[in-house]
Amino acid sequence: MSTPFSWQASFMEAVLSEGGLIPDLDGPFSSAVSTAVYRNNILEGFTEGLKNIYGAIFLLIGEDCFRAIAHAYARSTPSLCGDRNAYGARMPEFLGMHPLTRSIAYLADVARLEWASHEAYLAAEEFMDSGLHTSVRLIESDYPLLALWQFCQHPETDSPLDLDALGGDRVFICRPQEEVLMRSLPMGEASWYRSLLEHKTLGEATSAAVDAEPGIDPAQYLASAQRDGIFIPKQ
Amino acid sequence: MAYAATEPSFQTLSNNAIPAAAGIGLRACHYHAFQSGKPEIAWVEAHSENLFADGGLVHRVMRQVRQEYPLSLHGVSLSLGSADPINMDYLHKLRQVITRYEPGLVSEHLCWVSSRGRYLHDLLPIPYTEAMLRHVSDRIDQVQNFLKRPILIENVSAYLQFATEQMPEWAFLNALVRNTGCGLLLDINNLYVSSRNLGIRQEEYLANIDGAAVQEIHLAGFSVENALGQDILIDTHSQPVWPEVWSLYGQSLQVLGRKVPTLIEWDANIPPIERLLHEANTAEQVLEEMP
Repeated sequence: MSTPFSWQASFMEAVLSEGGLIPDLDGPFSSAVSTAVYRNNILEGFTEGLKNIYGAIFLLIGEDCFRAIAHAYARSTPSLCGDRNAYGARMPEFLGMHPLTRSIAYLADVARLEWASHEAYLAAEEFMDSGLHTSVRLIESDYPLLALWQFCQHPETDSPLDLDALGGDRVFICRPQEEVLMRSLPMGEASWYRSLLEHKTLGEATSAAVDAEPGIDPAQYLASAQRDGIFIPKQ
Repeated sequence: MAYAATEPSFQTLSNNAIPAAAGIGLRACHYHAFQSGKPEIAWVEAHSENLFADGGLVHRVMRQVRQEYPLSLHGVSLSLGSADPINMDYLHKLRQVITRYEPGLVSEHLCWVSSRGRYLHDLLPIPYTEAMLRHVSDRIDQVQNFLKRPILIENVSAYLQFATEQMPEWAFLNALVRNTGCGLLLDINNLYVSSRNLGIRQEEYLANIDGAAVQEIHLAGFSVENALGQDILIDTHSQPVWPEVWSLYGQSLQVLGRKVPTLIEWDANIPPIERLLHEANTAEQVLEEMP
């Protein structure tokens, strides 16, 4: 028999494959039965973990499609640390590439929004050098992202969305207290936050905001960010 | 170097000792119940990895919970049986969480979770051989030295049997206690599942396990599933504790001859907290029959 340690590598290869078998077994269950059970437990564990993060994607593509995507993602994308919360960052790109989902153009952006929300939920109670709270994220899309996300929170009650009529969106995400908050930003405010998230100075952010939306006063963004507890000016 | 559980420098602080009563696992869907009230329960257990988050709600809830209840920490990703070196990044985070929340007990599983750096996030079985015993003993030593406290080791459910000659699971666990001074977390549901799946004899297991080392018990509900035409019990934590497991729990306490802190685990299809407290109350009634 293999050493216990090369056996672990064989086990992993078997459960992550479609038809491989765990070697060196005996007892009441055939290798096919034991492999099927562990394969299912492991892949369903990954599916459940991803579903907790990507609830809107689950709703948009349905249980069967989500399971197929989650299994394929788990097989192709190793989880490299013991914290399950850290797994799933590459789902947006994966959804954009996978044959089952790549035709749904807005899916990757919805996934980006959900990952940003997940990160914001777990972010440190600290402020970055830019002065922004570490939970602050900005996700920009050619699709009505926040409307899509809100639709997924209340799928029975919301009326259908006209994606073409609604147009693009810039969604701001932060978690100043316990709850993750989201709202759509106008052009100027989005440019202001984008600049700060790109580590530009407040002056550069102000210029970018005015360039994007002539006539606005970026001082109001600063005031409301401070009031909301998501900005502390650095000395 | 082995740590005896009685080593004075590792005694837990008196205000966070886990009482010999029923507790429940803290899950995100019940955070609100703990924030808005004080559920009637003797102690709570949290998954160590959930507290690896940099910030956010989990820490707000945990700060409050820790002020009101004794807390134990239960890890699922230390991967003690893996061929990989112990993940020091993981161990540093675990030590930070322990320093922050001062849990009364810290536990992990007798299993492997990762191989060649890749995590499967499942509790996978190891063969109970002499070579594996040396390997796992060395790693428990390493962890306990780093954390400067003993940990509890839990038996997991098994859905396969190795072809290699092995010692019984109870003998392996007892040897770990002797070699390292670790304690044991006896999962009665896992014992029941493995006994039904693989024919492990429950009476022999209970009669031989090092009872003095058992510092915590876990109870949960398994599922019966069908794999390629064969019925198999799966440790899903998705249901109430089954009557057969309650009965094995009563038997276990009789053999151990004392009350032991007992946790109700529920991780899938999690019901409202009242249902969980009801299960804990059932465990409490069994405990109260003990001297």
